Formats: sequence, C-alpha cells, structure tokens
Amino acid sequence: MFRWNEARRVKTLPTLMATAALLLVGCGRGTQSSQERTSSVAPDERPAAETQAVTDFARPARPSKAYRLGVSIPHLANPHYVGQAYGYIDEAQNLGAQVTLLEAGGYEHLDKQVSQIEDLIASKVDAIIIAAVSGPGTVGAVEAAAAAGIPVINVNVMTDSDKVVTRIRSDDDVIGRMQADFMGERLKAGGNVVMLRGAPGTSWAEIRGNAFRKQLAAKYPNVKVLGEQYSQSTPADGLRLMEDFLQTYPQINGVYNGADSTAVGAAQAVKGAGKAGSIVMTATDFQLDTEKFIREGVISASVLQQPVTMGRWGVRAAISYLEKKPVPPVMFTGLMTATKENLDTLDLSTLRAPAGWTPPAR
Amino acid sequence: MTDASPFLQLHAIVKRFPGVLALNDVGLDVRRGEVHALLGENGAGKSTLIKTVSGVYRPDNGEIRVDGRSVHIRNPHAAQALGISTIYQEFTLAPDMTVAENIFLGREPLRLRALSIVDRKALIRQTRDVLASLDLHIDPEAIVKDLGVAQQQMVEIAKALSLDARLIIMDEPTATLTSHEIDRLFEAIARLKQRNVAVIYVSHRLDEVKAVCDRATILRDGTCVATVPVASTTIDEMIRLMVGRDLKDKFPKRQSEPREEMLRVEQLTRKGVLHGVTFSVRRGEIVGIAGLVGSKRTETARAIFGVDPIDSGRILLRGKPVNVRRPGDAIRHGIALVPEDRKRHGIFGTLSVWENVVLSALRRFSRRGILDVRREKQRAQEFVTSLRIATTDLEKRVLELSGGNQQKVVIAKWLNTNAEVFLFDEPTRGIDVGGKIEVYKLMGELISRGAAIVMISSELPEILGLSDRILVMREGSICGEFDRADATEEKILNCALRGAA
Amino acid sequence: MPIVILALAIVFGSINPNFWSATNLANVSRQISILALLALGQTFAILSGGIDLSVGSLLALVSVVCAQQMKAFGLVEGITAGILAGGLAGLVNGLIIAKARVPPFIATLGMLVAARGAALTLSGGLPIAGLPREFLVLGAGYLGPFPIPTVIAAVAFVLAHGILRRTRFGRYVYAMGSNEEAAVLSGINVANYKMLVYITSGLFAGVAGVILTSRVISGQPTLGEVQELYSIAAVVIGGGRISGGVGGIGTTLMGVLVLGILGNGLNLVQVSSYIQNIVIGAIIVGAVYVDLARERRS
Repeated sequence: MFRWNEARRVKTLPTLMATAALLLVGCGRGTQSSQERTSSVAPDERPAAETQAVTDFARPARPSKAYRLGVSIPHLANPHYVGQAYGYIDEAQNLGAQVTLLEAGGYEHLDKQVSQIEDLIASKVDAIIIAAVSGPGTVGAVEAAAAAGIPVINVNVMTDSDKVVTRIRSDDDVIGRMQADFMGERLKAGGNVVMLRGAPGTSWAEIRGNAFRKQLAAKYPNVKVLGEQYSQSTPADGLRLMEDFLQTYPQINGVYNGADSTAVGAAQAVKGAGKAGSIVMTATDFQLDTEKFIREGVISASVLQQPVTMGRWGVRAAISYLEKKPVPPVMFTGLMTATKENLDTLDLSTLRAPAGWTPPAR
Repeated sequence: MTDASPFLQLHAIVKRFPGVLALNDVGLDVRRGEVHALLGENGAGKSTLIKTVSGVYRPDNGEIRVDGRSVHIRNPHAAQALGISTIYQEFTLAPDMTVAENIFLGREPLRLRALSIVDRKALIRQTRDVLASLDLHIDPEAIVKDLGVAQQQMVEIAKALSLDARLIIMDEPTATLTSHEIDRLFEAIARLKQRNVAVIYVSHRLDEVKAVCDRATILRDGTCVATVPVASTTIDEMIRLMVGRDLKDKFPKRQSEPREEMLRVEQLTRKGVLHGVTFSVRRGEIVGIAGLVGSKRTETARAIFGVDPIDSGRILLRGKPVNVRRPGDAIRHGIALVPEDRKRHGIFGTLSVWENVVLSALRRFSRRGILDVRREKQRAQEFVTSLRIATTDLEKRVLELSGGNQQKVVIAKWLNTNAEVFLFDEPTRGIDVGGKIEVYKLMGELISRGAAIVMISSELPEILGLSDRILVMREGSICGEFDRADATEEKILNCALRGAA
Repeated sequence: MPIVILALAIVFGSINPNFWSATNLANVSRQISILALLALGQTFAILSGGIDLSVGSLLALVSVVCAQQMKAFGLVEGITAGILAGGLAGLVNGLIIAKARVPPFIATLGMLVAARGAALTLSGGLPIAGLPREFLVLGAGYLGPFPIPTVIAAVAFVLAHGILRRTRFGRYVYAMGSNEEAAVLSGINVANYKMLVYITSGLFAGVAGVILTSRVISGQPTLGEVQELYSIAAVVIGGGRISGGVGGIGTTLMGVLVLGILGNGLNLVQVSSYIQNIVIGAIIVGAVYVDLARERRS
C-alpha cells in the first residue's frame, strides 16, 4: 500500500558506490603473487631444530602441584579444534592440572585473542598454551606473557614471536608435499589445479601451500596452479570460492585445500556442478563431512593430523617445563593419509574427541 | 435543532500532573446536536479537558456520563467506541498513504475477511461519499503529503465524520483554512447538527465562535468560569471571561513614522512559484501580506531569506543590492525569518530555552572559538525577562513551553542577531489571546526601535489592525496594495480571490 | 546510570575479587579504549541526527594503511597516515551525506562495505607484519599506572566533551540533531557542519585503528567486524537518543563503561561469550526502554 516516493537521485549514488565496492572486493582477493608472505619458514631453509624435531613425547610423571594452565585457540567450530581441546583437557586431568580454555571465535578475531592472553596473564596462570590466530599479530601478547614470567607453549598455528618454550605442530611442510604427491600421481598426464589455502596470516596456510607449490614445481611440472585464494576456514567460504573458480576456469582437474572446512564447501560446489569424481580434491584434517565426501568419492584424499596428540603434548610440555624437565624446542605430531580405500581401518583416537564429548562452554 | 438532553456530561473533573493542577472541579454538558465552544487562554485547561474526554487522559476525580450512563473512558479507542471523535491541531495522517487509505485506516472494506485483502473499489467509493458530504474535491487516491495543509485538515475532518461519531471535538479546526473552506466547514457542521451530532468547538477565533456555536464554556486557570449562550454574549464579554480583564485595543495604537526604505525586493521570480514579486518596506513600518492559502506568501519570505533559490530578481537593503544565497547571508545582512510552523522550523524542542535563544548569534558569545556559557545564559535571561517568557527555568526544554512562549523564544533568537528586517510568517498562529497581545506589543517595540517588519498573516483582523500598508498576494504575485486607511476585509478578500486591485 | 555501573562492579567484584586487581582494571581499560574512541566519534554522528556505520571497517582500513606506510617510511609517518586515512574516509562520508544528501545510514553502510574491501585490496587479504618493535609501546605500554591507550581515550573524552559543550561546532551538532530544518532556517551551515561531524568520527576511528594495530603489531584487514554496532550500543545505553539531539560525552562514557565492565566481569565469572552477547543485547534494549519510560512519565 505504500508508494515509493524517493527521488531518483538518491538511488543512483548508492548503487554506484555499491558497484564500486563490489568491484574492489572482487579485485582484492586475487592478486597475491607480489605480496610479501608473512610468518612462514621457507621450506628449504629449515632451521636445525626442525630437522632434528622430536616425533614423540611421552607423558611426564604426575606433578605434586596442581598447575593452572591457560589455553587460547582460534575457535571451536570444527572437530580439529574440538579434538585438540579434548587433548588439552583430558591430558590435564591425567596430570592433575586445571585448564582454562579460551577461544577467539574465529581467525578474524585477533584482537579478542590478544585480550584473552592479557586476561590470562592477569589471572596469573602458570603457563599459557597458544594456537595463534595470526603469526605477526600475537607477538606482543606472547612477549608480554614471557615478560611476566609465564612460559608460552605454541601449538598447531605458530606465532612469530620466538619467546616460546616449544613449537608443537604437524610438519606442515610434509602436509603440503603429501598433497602435492597425491595430486601429481593422479594427474600424471598433466592438469590444472586451484588452491584454497585457508586463513590468511596463519603459519599452516602459508607453509602447507608453499610446500605444495614447491613440490609440484619440482616433481610434477605439467600440473599447473591456475589460481589460489585465502579465506576463513568455513564451508561457506569454500563453497563460494569453489563456485567462483568453476566459473572462472573452465578446466579444473584438481583442488588443494589447506584445511578441510573449505574442502567441505568446495566438495558441495563440485557436486553441484556435476563434476564429482572428475576432479581430484585433497584436503587436510578429518571432520565428519570430509569423511562422508571421501566415501562418496568427491574428496580424493585427506592428510590427517593428530590434534588430540597436539593437545596432549602441549600440556605435557607445559608440565615438564614447570617441573624443570627438558622440553625439545620443536615437536612434530604424526600424519596419516585417508582415502576411500583405507577409511575403515584408521585409528581415530588421536584425531577426534570421543563421541558425545563437548568442550566446556566458554 | 438542538435536542435538550445532554449527550455528554462532565461533573467535578479533576486532573493533576506533577506540579500542576490542570483541571479543578470542571463541569461541562454538551447537548445532542449542539455546537458547544470551549474557550480559554492557553494553559487554561482546554487541551487537558478535551484529552480527558477523548480518552488520552483519565481524570483523577469526577464523573463522566455519556447518554446518561456513567462511563470510564480508558483510552482513545474506548472513546471512539462511545461515539466521541477528536480532530487535533497536529494532524494524525500518514503522509505517505493516500487519502482513502488514511480515512479508513484500520477499517478498510475487505474483500476476503480471512486474508485481509482490501476491496479497493469499495474503499474509493466510500471515500468519495465521505468527501462529497463535505463538498470536498480531493482525489481519494492523492498522497496526503502532496496535499496542502488546508486540504490535509479537511481529510482529517472527513475521517472523523466517517467514524459516525455522535460527538466530534474540533481543536482549532480553521487555523489553516481559507474563508471559503471555513464556510464549507460550517456547512458540514450544520449538517452534523441536523444529524443530532454534537460538536465541541475549540478555537481562539471568537468571530467564528459567534458564527457557528450555540453555547460556550469558558475555562480559566483550570476552572470552569461560565457557560454562556453565544448569541447573547458579545466578544468583548467572552474575552473578559477568558482573561479576567477588559481588553480594549487588542492592537496597540501606535504612531507610525516610517523612515527610509530598508528592504526592497524587485521582480523576484522562481519558475512556477513567484512571478515578479516587487515591494518595499521602510524602517518603522509594518507591511502586512494577505492572501489565500496557496498564494505563495511563505515562499516569498523564504526566497528573501535565502532558503529557496530564485531564478531572477534583486534584493536591496538600504538601497544596496545584496546577494542572499543561504540563510547565513540573510542573517548577516540583518534579516530574520520567524517561520510559520514553529514546531518544524522554529524551535529546537529538545534543547533548553537559553540554547535556543542564543543559537543564531553564537559568534557573539565565543572568544577564540570557545563559548562563554555564562554570558550566553545571562543574555538569555535578559530576553526571558524583557519578553516575559513564562518559564522559571532557563534550562527547561523548549518543547515543554506553551505555543505562545515558544514563539517568543523564536523571536528572542532573532532579536539576538540584531536583525533589522523581520519577516513574520503567521506570528500568532496557535497562540491564545493574551499571548497574541504580547506578540503585537513586541512587534510595536521592534518598530519603534527602527526595525522594518513584513508580516504574513491569514487573520484579517490582525492584518488590518497592525499593518501600515497591506499587500495582497495571489498565486505567486502581488495583486493589490492598500494603505491602512482604505483597507477593508472585503477589499482584501476580493483582491485575494479574484486578483483585481 | 552511574549507580548501575557501580552495582555491576560490586557484584562482579564480590564473585571474583580479581576484578579489582590493578592488572585487571588496567586490562579492561586498555581493552575498551578502542570501543571508547569509536563511541566518541559515534556520539557526534548520532547527536547530529545521523549515524556512522563504517567505523568498524575503518579500523581495518586504518590498520592496513598505517602498517604499509610505517614499513615504507617510518613509525611517525605510519601513525599519521593511519589517522589521516580515517579522517579521509570520514570526509568521503561527509561529502556523500552533506552534498549528495544521501541518508547517513545508507552512506556509511556503503563505506562499511567499501572500506573493508579497500583494506583487503590494499593488503591483498594478508596481514602486514614486520612493524618496528617500538610501535608495541603504544598499545601495550604504560604511562605511570595507566595503560597508554586508556590515557589516549581519556584525553579524547575530555577533548570531545569540550568540543560538544563549548564550541559553536558542538552546539550546532545538537541543533542539527534536534531539528535540522530549524537549524537551516537559523542560519547554520548544516552541510559544512555535517561534513565536520563525519570527519571527526573518521579521525577518532583513525586513532583507534592505530592503537589496535599496535596491539596486534601488524596491519590486519579483518579487524573491527561488528565494532560499529557496539559503538552505537554504547551511545544508546548511556542515554543518547538514536534520533539525535539528546545525549553527550558523559552519557556515552557511561555506556562504554557498562559494556566494558559487563564484558570483563562476565569473563571473570566464566560466563560463555555466547551468553555474554545475549546479556548485552538485553541490556541495550532494556536501557533504552528505561530511558523512554522515564521520558513518557514526565
């Protein structure tokens, strides 16, 4: 019943602005080749500590004191971090320690993680375990903790600060190479690949993606990377980017995923385009939808990390340090590959929290 | 003919607000088919009384009877259900909807009751009927905000009439109507009388009250002073009852000694609006501009003040042409505009009295960019005193003042700018008799201090009483000019209607 | 409102005495200084009868510009460039609102999207690291017992209060918000002062953005999501009217404190951040309701 009485003039300007905005956003995502990479360790200049990294770390003796540990992770929105959380909490129970688990609500909430670290420092925890939302962005917070005499254990996603007691993660370099090898073998005759790298500014997105490219260039020169995009680790982002890729590049033979949340979305896009099975898709990690898509043959393979182990080692490292025991500076947790063939033979106890376990509400 | 049995009876009504006893033991009875005037100065309690009858307020004490039965009017909806309809000064129309939609808002004829689908044909038809009963030529599908103020008010009246009310309260219904439209309103009121519908007629225009009302109840300071038969009561007596004092000479007698020319506008033209408007005003002179609604008098004032652009023409101040492209320019040249619609254009309701008074002259109170609040308040207090603005507290928000005092605040704001040319647009609209006199006195003082005044007014007595010269405008151009000595209401109306001098 | 704040503090303090510790108070004040600065700019916008939805995205844009210029030219140049970027964006907002007469909601909504896009474009979507260590001092350092961001926010509050209450600009802001048409007719150059309002808001966002960049010692194009809504909430909770003309720096300060104490307090008593959001939403509506109810009664 209402009439639209606005003057024409009022409508055109915002339309122009909206168009301009969309153009900017659209252009902004693509070109990154000349951009400087952050927080990554170049694959062929690995420090000695890494080449001599430890690949196993046993549980120390239960201490007499009940230590208070602060844990800060990027989010709890997928089974990877839920598994990691289980690792922290279960291991802490075994070692008589108390855990305060904080999550920042996503990789884009850097300021929240910084605030949470500050709060942990203020509540005088004995040690802080951090999976960094951003490599460079957490330097200040980590250094503040170190200055306050609180040891910092860095797990999974690396901070750029070197004031950490130890770094515990998968060998992201190997992950990237494993995906490259799988892709290269499947696309022997050559092919075009697109990359969904994952969250910008994180060590895993950087290292894995760079390793992937390097390995392709070295061993499979006729497999070309057509394009790459960074995004938040959500299926929605994966879906959107994959749909855009399918529109932009008519011939895609393979898709690399830095993590698996984007893979879930990308798999849906591929299915929707009717190309399931004709595109080789690789990913990292193993949430339920990833497992489903591997069974259906949409995702070809996924490199599996052991987030529960990461959590356990994080707590073990903290307790060991506090008990004045030696802690290796770099630790790599193990990796597996999941394909349709071996799905049911995998031991998932180091990957996922037990069914029905939920992290404490924070 | 009036049925002697009362439709509405109010007995010993008391209404209190924090710090104010608004109604004190007020009684009123309105007979069926009677047109009953409610008179009183602003603040006398008229507004509170009609809001009590129409269900906006609930009385603290006393009894209301409708049709002989005691009732509690809980809210406006209940009042409507009892057959009491109210038309307020501030319109309650939805500006973006059509006339038909407004009149039948909430009561639209439905085609499918379950899905609330409006029967548009029936809606238009019924609207035409209602408008025809008032002899109104308004398109039922016209958008309300495109209509003129007068037409909007007619739609309001049509809406109330369409509710089959048995008592219609009209609050200053003719404030924005032309005399032609007023006649039609009176005809409609006569038709209401024939249908035995009662009317409570609240107005400051006592000549209208004499013309159309049967009885009048006068309120003063929250009490009911008297109820008189209108036919046998003179206007002076009514005024005396309202004000409690004899008011001769509403319009201050003054010796007008106009001096040199202050403002001259030449051939002001704006396509479709103003056509070669030319006139001049001298120091110490009041020039009144009369005309019907739509004659573009307000547009003339706005053009002079720089609010609206002009296509061609000149403005000269003291003989020298000036460039007025925005209000700031006009103010710098000493021109002031007191606008027609206080609420929308004149006052800053949520700001305090003193903030309003100093607003247009802030430069005067700032030293190196910082405002001297103490000096501002001092100056504001001076104006409050000299203009007798009725407020004990400078910090009071202006929207809490009465209409007359709000107008004084606006005038004070302009006095602060040391303006020498004042453009008044309907300076006493919505102000009670006592307030009007104060405004007239103010204007007299301004004149004696050497200002020049242009006064746009639709109240002919006001125009005739105050102006030294009278201009008549019609459809964007001046069609006649009269000296005070030879001006009469008929001559002015003639000119305004037909365009011949 | 001050009573509410005191009550909240006492309740939280009794549940977890850590609330009153110097470190916690310092942390809280440091963390809300960003919101405080945004709320200051928002106060000007809302008082004038408008609104600035772009301030959250401006944090990102400022962060990226600040970081890039700092790496290219130096510490001071970076800080200056960041603040100027905020002011420039505010100028664009102001031009669109004052000259093209696009409603502020729409204009700043457009800027919200465009500024975020610009931040992502300029940075290629990646954070910009490698900023000089000294820069950390701005966000993490202390001036005596007070965190530097808190001091900056406090100075900004005093400045803003002075401007609003003691300058022509401030008076005109209130006038425009109270009745814009009357303001025009009173000779106020509404177009120019509106531009000034949004430039002011942009500058405050600029300062906030630089401080935030210092805290995370990198240019981050993803900063500030949703912060514009919290800045509006702060203005409104304190008693500012969303339609303009009513409110001020004092009321905004109350709103900022409520949000800050609530956030920190609920954290300390281990309430999940999801529940915190529900609580804050309820407070926003509740505070405005109480205000309006008081208004209606008088």
